[in-house]
Formats: sequence, C-alpha cells, structure tokens
Amino acid sequence: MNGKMCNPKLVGSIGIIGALFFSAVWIIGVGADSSWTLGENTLSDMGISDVELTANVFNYGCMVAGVLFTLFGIGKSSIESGHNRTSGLLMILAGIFLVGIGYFHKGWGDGTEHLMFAYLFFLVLCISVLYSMAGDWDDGYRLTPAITGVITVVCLGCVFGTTLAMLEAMVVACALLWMLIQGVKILRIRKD
Amino acid sequence: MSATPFKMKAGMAVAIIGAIWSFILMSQAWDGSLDSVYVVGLAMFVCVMFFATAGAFTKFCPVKGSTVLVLSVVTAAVVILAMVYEAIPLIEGIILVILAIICIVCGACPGVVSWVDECRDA
Repeated sequence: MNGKMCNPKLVGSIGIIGALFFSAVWIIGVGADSSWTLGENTLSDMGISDVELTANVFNYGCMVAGVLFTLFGIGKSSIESGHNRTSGLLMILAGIFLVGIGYFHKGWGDGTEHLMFAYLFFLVLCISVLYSMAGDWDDGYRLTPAITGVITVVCLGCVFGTTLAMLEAMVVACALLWMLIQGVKILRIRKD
Repeated sequence: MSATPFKMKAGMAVAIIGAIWSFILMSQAWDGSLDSVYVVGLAMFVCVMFFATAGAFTKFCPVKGSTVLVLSVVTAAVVILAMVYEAIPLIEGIILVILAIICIVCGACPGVVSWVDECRDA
C-alpha cells in the first residue's frame, strides 16, 4: 500500500478514538456493575457479568475497538517505516484478536477460545509496543519512546508482585496510553 | 567546552530534590517489622535512581548523552511501581513522578545529549 495514500491526521485520529473508546467501554462497564473490583476481577469478567449492560458494552465494545485497532495498525504500517511498520502490522493482528476476545466471551464454551485470543492479543500487543519503541528511537523521537519505556518497565515490574487481574488492568491501561500517544504522534506527522 | 546548559542544572536540581524526598519517604516506610523491608527496599530503589539521574546531569556524567534519558525513564517507572506496591504514599508519588518527568524532558533535549557527549570526549 502506498504510504502517501494514508492521511496521518485520519490515522492519528483513529488511534486516539480507539484508545478513548475502549477507555469509555471500561468505565461504563465498571460503572454499571458495582461488583467488579479492580485487582480481583479481570476485564473479561465484565463480558460474563450478571448485569446485561456491562456484558453487552464489554463484548461489543471489544469488537468495535478491535476494528479500530486494526484500522490504526493498517494506517501506521502504511505511513511509517522500519520497526514502526512492523509495529503497525502487529497492531492489525492485535485488533483481530481483540475482536475475537469480544466475540468469544469468557462464557463461550469452556472459555478456551476466549483464553487463546486473550493470550494472543496481549502477546502481539506487547511485541508491537516494543517494536514501536525501537522505531520511534530510530526515527529520532525521544519523548514517545521514553514514555513507552516507562510503561514497559512498569508492566514488567507488575508481573511478579501483583495478581493476574491487576496485571491485566495495568497492561491494558498502559496500552491505551501508548495508543493515545502514538495517535498524537502520527497526527502530527506532516504529509509530504 | 561550552557553558553548562540550563536544562542540565534543572535536571540535576530536580533529581536531587526527588532523591532527598524519596530518602525521607524511605525512612517513613519502615514500621519496625521485618515485613516492611520490602517497601523500604523499593523506596530505597527510588532514592537510588534519583541520585543516579542527578549524577548523570553533571559534566562528570559516566554514561552517554542518550543514556541520561534512559536513566530518567527507569526512575519514573520505579516511582510508579513504588506507588503500585504502596511503598510510597499516593500524593508524594505523584509529585515524584512529575519530578521524574521533568528529568525525562531535560534528558530528551538534544542540547543536553550533545553537551554530555562533548564533556565525555574532552
């Protein structure tokens, strides 16, 4: 795909909207279900919540967010090059897996499909974030890889000392922040 | 060798303030029991990183110019981790994060990077 055909402002906006959208999904889901507790319940527990609004918001929200992530990944891989292009390609995969997380919710069958998509999503997303950090450094950016480095170290530090639910929440929050920053960065790219 | 850039002085000053404050928080983290050793250790890690960052913002910087930013990044991350593990209180932690972000901003400046590399080559 010709990178010049992708408008950086459009791609950046999709990234920002995707991050804010999933944040809204999380907030609305938790707001509707008071039994959801940070650090004790995983985000996927919202998908099987007794509160129908929370379950629907989370499951459909994941699917919509997955589409936005995929579109953002397509744009990022078209506009940028090198490691950032790889990061964009991985974001496409991550978006597809996120759609799978929403479609195959935790209560689907015995939950194996959901678990598979969840692990794949986080694995691909983490690798995408690392590639973007290297790519931004190579492209001469300093603040964006610095912030990405902070959130990477924070997530690594949470691996051994926190519950899985808290770790997942931290990783998702950090990933949304990363996507927001990447969206702003791409938004500011001048189209030649 | 050119005069010390303002951002070098600012970075060092901010890092020193962070180091002293986190040292005080480290002493407050000790509650007399052996179980508090973990939180004291984490607060000490924060203090050590701030001191390391402060040392990087000098003409005797032991690392490359671009590594000053890496030190600042690790400092910020460690402060956030200390907040997550409740080694330091929330409000003080937020202020320390702001100090670390100032160090990041200073460390990201091309002028700082080139000045540090110039001192190392001299």
